[in-house]
Amino acid sequence: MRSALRLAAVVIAVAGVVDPALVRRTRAPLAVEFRLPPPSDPHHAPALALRTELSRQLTQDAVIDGSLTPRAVIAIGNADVSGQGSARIFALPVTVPGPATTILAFSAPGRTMAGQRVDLAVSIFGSGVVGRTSSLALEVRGSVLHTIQHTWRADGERFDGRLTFVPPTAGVYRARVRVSTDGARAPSVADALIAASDAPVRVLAYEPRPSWPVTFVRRALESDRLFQVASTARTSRPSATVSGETPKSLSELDVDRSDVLIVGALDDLRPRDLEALDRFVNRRGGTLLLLPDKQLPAAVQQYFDFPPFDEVLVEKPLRVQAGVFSLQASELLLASTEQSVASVRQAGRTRAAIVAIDRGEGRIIVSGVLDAWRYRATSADAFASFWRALVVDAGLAAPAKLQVSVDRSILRPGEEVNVSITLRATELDRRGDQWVMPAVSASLVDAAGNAQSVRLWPGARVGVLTGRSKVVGHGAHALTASIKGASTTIPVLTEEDVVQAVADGSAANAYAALATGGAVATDPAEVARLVKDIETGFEERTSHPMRSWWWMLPFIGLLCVEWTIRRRSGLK
Amino acid sequence: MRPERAVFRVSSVSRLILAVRRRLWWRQFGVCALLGASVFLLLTASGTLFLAGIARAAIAIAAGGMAVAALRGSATPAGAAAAIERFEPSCRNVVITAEELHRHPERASARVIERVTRAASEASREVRAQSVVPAHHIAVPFGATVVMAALASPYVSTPAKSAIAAITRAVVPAPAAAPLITVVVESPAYTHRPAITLTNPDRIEALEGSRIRFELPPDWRVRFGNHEVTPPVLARASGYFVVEPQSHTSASMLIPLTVQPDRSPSVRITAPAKDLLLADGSATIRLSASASDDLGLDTLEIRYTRVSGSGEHFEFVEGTLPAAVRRRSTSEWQADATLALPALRLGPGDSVVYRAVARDERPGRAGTATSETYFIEIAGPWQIALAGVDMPPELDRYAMSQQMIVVKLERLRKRESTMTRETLREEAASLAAEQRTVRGNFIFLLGGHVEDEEEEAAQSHEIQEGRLENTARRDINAAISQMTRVEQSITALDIGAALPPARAAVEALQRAFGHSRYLLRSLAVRARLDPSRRLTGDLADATGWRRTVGEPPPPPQAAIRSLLAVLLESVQLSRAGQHPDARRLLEIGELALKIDPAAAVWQGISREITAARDTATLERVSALVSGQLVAGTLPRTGITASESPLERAFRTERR
Repeated sequence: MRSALRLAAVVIAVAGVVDPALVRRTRAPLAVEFRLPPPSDPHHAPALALRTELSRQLTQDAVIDGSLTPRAVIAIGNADVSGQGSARIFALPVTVPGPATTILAFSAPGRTMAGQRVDLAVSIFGSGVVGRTSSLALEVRGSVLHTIQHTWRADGERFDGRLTFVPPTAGVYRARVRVSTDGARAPSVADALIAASDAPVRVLAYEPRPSWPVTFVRRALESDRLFQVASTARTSRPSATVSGETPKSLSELDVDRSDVLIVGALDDLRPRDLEALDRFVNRRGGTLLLLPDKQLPAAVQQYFDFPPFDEVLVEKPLRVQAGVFSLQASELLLASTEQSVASVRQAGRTRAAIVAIDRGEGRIIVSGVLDAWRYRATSADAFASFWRALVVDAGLAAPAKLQVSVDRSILRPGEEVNVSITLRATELDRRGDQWVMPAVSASLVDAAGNAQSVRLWPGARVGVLTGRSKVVGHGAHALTASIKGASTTIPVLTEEDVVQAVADGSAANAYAALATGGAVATDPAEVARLVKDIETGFEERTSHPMRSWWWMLPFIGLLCVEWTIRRRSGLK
Repeated sequence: MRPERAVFRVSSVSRLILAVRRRLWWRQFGVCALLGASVFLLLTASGTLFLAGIARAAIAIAAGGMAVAALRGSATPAGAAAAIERFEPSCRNVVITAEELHRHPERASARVIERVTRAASEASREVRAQSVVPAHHIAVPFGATVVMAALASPYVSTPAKSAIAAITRAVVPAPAAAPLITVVVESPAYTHRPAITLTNPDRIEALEGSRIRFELPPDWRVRFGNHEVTPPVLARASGYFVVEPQSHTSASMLIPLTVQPDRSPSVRITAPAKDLLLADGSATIRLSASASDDLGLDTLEIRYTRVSGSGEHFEFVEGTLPAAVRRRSTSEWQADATLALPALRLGPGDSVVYRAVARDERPGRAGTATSETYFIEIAGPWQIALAGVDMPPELDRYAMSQQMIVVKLERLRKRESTMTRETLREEAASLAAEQRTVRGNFIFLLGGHVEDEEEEAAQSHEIQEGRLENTARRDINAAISQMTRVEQSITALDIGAALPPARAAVEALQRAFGHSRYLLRSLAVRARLDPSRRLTGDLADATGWRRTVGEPPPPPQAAIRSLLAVLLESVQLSRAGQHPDARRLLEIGELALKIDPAAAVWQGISREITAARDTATLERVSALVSGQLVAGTLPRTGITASESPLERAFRTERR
């Protein structure tokens, strides 16, 4: 008996040393991963219910949300399916029973100024609400400040509206749109963030010789605190009238000192001036406002490849419509182009009087209303207001050295935000066939001052970096991206009750499903059946049973029993 | 235990009394809880006392406890017996007697007690405790307590809270009611309007110059905007009054004042209403003028000035034509007069200037208005006169005007020592206005002021081309400069200092006319260059200059933005249970009135703010203010509408 016990213990010890491997051929498990919309998505709750139902149907046949590499990803609603490898994607849209409205988009402009109008774009989708009226109310800091209404005329109609707000001071404003519809069970809501700054738009007005159009536009800007205007008007070759911090000549222009450049008297521009203007527009991404007082010089026309402008002189001034503004001019340069900022009806057709032309990263606006300044007093300050509005918009569009954007600037604590950082072309250096970028860092700082680094990866094109970060904690966060000598900060706000617009990701998920061999189904049972049908194949599993610590128990037990028997037998 | 007590214990009436007492106790507890909850809700909904939640709860519990103490007698055995007797009067107090004997067995023998107990049991056999104190008597107080507690909780919906607040306000009077304030508005005497008495007005509308008196409680004061005033107040400009006690401002009142100006009369010449160039001075011309005023006219007359002489040696004779005035109403008059030229003895080149002058009933010269001035000129030897043909405006007309200013200055200088300061100021202001008009005419004809920045910029070409070498124009520029000095001296009431530049201006104009009588007509023609003067200067001597740009004025929307920011903050505080107190609301209302005290919209907004007792009102006002702000701001042009880089590249390529 004792020998048998000893033998058994020895066998265990030897087997442990040898460590034999066992190979088994088994059916591979079906690993399934669920992807849901974020908690701030209105479809998150119904998506959770669908996941519960699907989990119940799949629990016998699949490993759900485990550590195994998934063979199937079930994307419910507008879930993000990025980052998937070879798994098949099954898209299961969330359907909201009507009558109901769904907010598809609700967004504020990226850059705004305190005291400037902010138009918040909202898109809503109505199902089963034909003949009913929806009320769209804009709430800012809890107060309803603007309301519009829409009566639905067709089922499945999409309505694009605009809600307006003027940030009274610089700061961050949480805006919420609440869509209430007659007969609908509950209103739809969505949040957006408005970040208003009080930094003025920096404008440089340059005149190679004094010119009327630039003079009056400059005066309109100088009388408004939205602008910080510097100007140079050369009255003769050695002398100039200047104000603010201005370069001696355009060739000495520091592109970072101005957001908008206003240039007149184009016939006196030299080739070096044109090169400087091109650099400002093309690489810096600024807006160049050209205010000629006569036909465009051929050199300017050819350099910037402008469309042909016809000079039109009329006895009585024509009405030039620029959005809500109505200007007048009797000396005009008119072009036939689609990129019109202001148009005029002349000789039976509508032609562009003020043209905006994209060039590189920026744009050039050519004013064809040569003598609009003459009629500046005729229509309730329209002349000054139009140019102010145009220059404000142009200034806000001028990119900083670093542009930081996020897919959602308002979200719930714990949700992830996708960060995109774009370096301006002026910050990129080309060496041979390669682009050289400066070192870029990004961090997310919460209200308490705790910083969290954001890991950045090269994006799809040169100068673009992307990252993803989880935003923890409540309140305002500052997302800062930095390079040497420059940094840009944008706000990110987290609140517990944030609701996002329902991002329409159905098409993307459907494409992903087709591309990966998955499917799109509206019935959870159908999805469960399709997932179960996935052929997982067999796999050989190698195991080392002797590596288990449990072998210690029989090993010690055998020795203990053997020792007990031995002691009872009177042996040592 | 005594046997009679044992008898009672086992009797049915004893069980009934016990059951009724238990139910009475629950009912009493429910009522006390309801009272406590009501007190808590009242404190919460009224938002007064600035008490924290725990303090309010303590007060509520104390109130409930006091109620328990007050009602403690009702849930006793005696109270239960009384309740049974009230429910079943046929018992004839035997239940009360039985219960009393149970408590005081020494008052009767055991046999009597037993007998009474039996009789009480017999009498109350059909009585049920549920009937004496029905279940709903217990359930209702408890249910109401739960509802009250729910309404007082922070999770209750806003509409419900608002409704409770409204009910509370209706039940509980405002803590500090505004006292009786009487405002008496006395229009200027010339309007013959009666005084208006207003009691606690929400706004005051007064004619310019009205006297506003306040009848206030003792120790109250009035300020107009930020300045404390002592009534009566003379209404000069729109604004707002703040009527407040000296000590605190909890019951202060904001009263906007809208001042309606007394407009000057509107006068015009209706016939012949054109300048005339006549062959000789033998004609008689019928003149007609009409005038109207918003309140009433006092005089309407047609005045003339006979001008004789030439160059700068003009002689002026002023007079008034006898006119027949027809009054259609007190505010619409018409005057007809005949201008007999022979009586004026006009020679060739002489002229008559005439105009209608109307005055309303205001004292002083404030209510005087003059029509446009027309000329009648007798043709000179070099002129071809066509009777009744409009006379083109000539430069002499302006020269005469400047000479006229010299004449008026000389006259004023003579009378200066005999005039009061106030009268001198009025006449000087009138003269300064005339000088400004003359100067404006010349500036207009020159195309703008030469000191103006843009004009100077535009003339930089002309400087190079030698256009300003035209000495006539230079002289006119000099005259304009002298006129500026005249105006400045008159404004400073230094008539003596105004005369030399006024004469210098006349001389400069005369020089200019001597060079080229039709100088201004030639301004539109491009100047002929003098080649001999070209390239004679040194360009290196030209230097630039730094233009100093002043701080732009605050935008009109700045005040509205401040108000909106304050309102948004107040709404948030109010929603958090810290509704602004009366003093803060008054401050915010004042902010609204400061934007434009005469505008009805801001008066209404201010009124709503000061009366705001709940969050909903503040929200509504915020929306109104936001709407006003949006209406006054720049719209977006859409040139920066977000676009994808792909779309942008595609558009660029297509171009």
